[in-house]
Amino acid sequence: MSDLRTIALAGNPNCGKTTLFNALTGLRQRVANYPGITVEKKVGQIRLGDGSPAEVIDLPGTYSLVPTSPDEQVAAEVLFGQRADTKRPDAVVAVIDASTLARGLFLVSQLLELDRPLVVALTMSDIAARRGIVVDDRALEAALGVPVIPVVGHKGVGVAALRSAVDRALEGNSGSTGAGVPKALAKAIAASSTSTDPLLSEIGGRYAWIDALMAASVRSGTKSHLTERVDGFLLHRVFGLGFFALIMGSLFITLFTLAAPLMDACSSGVAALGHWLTASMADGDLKSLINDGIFAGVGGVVVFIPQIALLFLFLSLLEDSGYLARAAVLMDRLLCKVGLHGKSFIPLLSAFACAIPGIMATRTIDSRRERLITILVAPFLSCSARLPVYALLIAAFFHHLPGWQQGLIMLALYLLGIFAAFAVAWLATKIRGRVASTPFILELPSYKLPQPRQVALQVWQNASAFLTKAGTTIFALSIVIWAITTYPKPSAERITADTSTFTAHWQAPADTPADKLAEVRQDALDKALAGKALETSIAGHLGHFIEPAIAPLGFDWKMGIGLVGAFAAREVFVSTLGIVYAVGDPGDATDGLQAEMLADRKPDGSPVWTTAVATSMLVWFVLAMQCISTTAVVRRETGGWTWPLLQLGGMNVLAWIACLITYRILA
Amino acid sequence: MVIKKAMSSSHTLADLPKGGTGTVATVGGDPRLRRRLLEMGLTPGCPLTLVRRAPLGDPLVFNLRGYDLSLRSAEARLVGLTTGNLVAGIRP
Ligand SMILES: Nc1nc2c(ncn2[C@@H]2O[C@H](COP(=O)(O)OP(=O)(O)O)[C@@H](O)[C@H]2O)c(=O)[nH]1
Repeated sequence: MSDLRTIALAGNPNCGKTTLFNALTGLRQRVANYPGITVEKKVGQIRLGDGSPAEVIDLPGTYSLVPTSPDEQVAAEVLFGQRADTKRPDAVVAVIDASTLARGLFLVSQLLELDRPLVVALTMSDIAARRGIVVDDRALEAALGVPVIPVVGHKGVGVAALRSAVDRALEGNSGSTGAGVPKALAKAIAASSTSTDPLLSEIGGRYAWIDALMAASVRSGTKSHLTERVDGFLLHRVFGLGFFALIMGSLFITLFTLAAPLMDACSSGVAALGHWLTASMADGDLKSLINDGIFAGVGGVVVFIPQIALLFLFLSLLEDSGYLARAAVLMDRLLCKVGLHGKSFIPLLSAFACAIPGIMATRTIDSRRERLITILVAPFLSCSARLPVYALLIAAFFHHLPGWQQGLIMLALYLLGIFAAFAVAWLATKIRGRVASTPFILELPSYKLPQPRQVALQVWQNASAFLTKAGTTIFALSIVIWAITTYPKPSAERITADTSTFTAHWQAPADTPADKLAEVRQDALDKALAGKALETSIAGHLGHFIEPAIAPLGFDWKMGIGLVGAFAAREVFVSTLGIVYAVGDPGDATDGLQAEMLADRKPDGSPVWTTAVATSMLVWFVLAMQCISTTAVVRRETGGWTWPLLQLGGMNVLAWIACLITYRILA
Repeated sequence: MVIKKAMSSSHTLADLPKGGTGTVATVGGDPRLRRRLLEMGLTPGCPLTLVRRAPLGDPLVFNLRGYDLSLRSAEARLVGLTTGNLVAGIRP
């Protein structure tokens, strides 16, 4: 904690608070978490009029200082000075939306009672003006007893005036620094507090004061005709659902078509960089650590960036335009049926890119029960890391099918995940007993055109939050996986023996030119030895060790090694199999891996990878929980080990049973 | 000034016809929910309109105090409306 003076921005959700925060602080801001919870803490730096630096805190959006969600709780605690990690603000800026003034003034009526220097920033005055709403800010200022400054954040209008009002409020000589509750407000509350219903009289009194205030200082206009017309379409029985399907469909298609090549480019780019850097190094453990541990780890993190960035781009566009609130309305009925909530929609949608941002997005869900169930089922939705595994297995084992049927298999995998998520959510609700359903109270903000700068900043902040949260775990695990696939190394005798076995059996491919023969042979030997080395490593032993458990599902120890590798991140399965099958890095030679897998035989001569095995493996990847980074995030979000362990155990048992059934039916 | 007669059968928000207008009389529910409904501006005397229903029938979208608020029928049923009287729909 610093002794800088702090200024808190408080306001309703969607009131333009973040836009104003960005306008005030520029890019001098950072996003962290309040310790122990995952609510984001946004802090920025500004310089006050006297040149001294100060901190601006962007509080989570809140309707009231009596909180109902973890987000709102933080806002209230900071404002009351109840958080050990955040100093009580020296001044408060109440951000209120001129087009929905009454509700904003409700929050102001509570902020006035904080007895802190207060300045009111009136946003969206341009939108209000378009609707014929005229706010007499001088009259409002006089009635509230605190400065009222009209602003348009993204155009910078009024920002300078707001700064100097904050300066004066901090100096405490503007005569209006929280001089106390306006008499009219106190009187209105007192007037109604004679009734026998304290809750009604308190809030009724505030709104009576607001009504009087607005009658004196606001000329009310029409409601938003644009929003009304757009909603007539977007919430329409037929067009609304059609448009929703279209938006979600294009989101998925973009994620797949655009992100897959970008993912490939990222990982091969990182790998190439590693090889280039180590080109002059002698072969050995260090070189291997750098290439297969560190750079593979960085690559494993970097491949997610395109997906995550695209996802957040979509989400910020949808959110800033106002559509996400409508999506929650559209989906609430459906989600409610399985024990989820309209607000679960955004987390679940995000989980298709990666479960981690999905789980982090659950903090807007007010009810702890629905939040936990959303967290519980989010990893069932097929994240982008499963995509390479699906693609490999489908291409290898269903290549005889026409392309559209292969596409259908892919779709079926996604649907299986969705079905599993809904079924488990429904079951969890049944088991825990359905208490009265959690209320759905959601403001639908008016539609607005997203601001590119704002959107870019959100994408950047969310993507870097993902990188620091998930990236560190994935990176660390990649190094662990490198170590257990490298050590212990085979003995010199073993290598000699393996080399002579290789020499005895190896035949050059028929079309090898004579001058390339030695090169091809060396290459094949290296790969064969790498495969053998993996077999003697810890991972190899683990593969053998878990074989009895996975044999009923049709999996052998080689697949077991792949599954162990997949705990770093699922797509590592592909590269681990690449090493097991001695085709080297399959990044650019997945064809070779497919051929090797198809050619692999059991001791009795039957193929190892049958369609039944491949299908069982696909089902495993849809349903199993094998992502340690997700488990780590769930632990942090739920504040204990109960939920993550329940999730880890439950999903894997479920996957095991489903694979057993699949394999028994097909084999 | 738009004057509409609240339908005599309309006792709660959930009974409003699409486009229908009413005036809040009572707000029920457990204390936490009741507080939030009141805080969102659903105070006795406040006029509001049912703008539309979601495609699957629920939730409902209301316009009040210059903004749109979405509630499920379950919450809407907690808000009683004044009956019989002529009520002011939208303030001039
Ligand atoms: N027309 C207009 N749009 C604004 C203004 N302030 C914010 N917005 C837009 O309103 C939306 C919500 O703003 P944001 O700052 O994210 O709101 P927050 O949820 O309170 O942080 C975004 O699309 C902004 O671009 C304003 O003064 N005028």
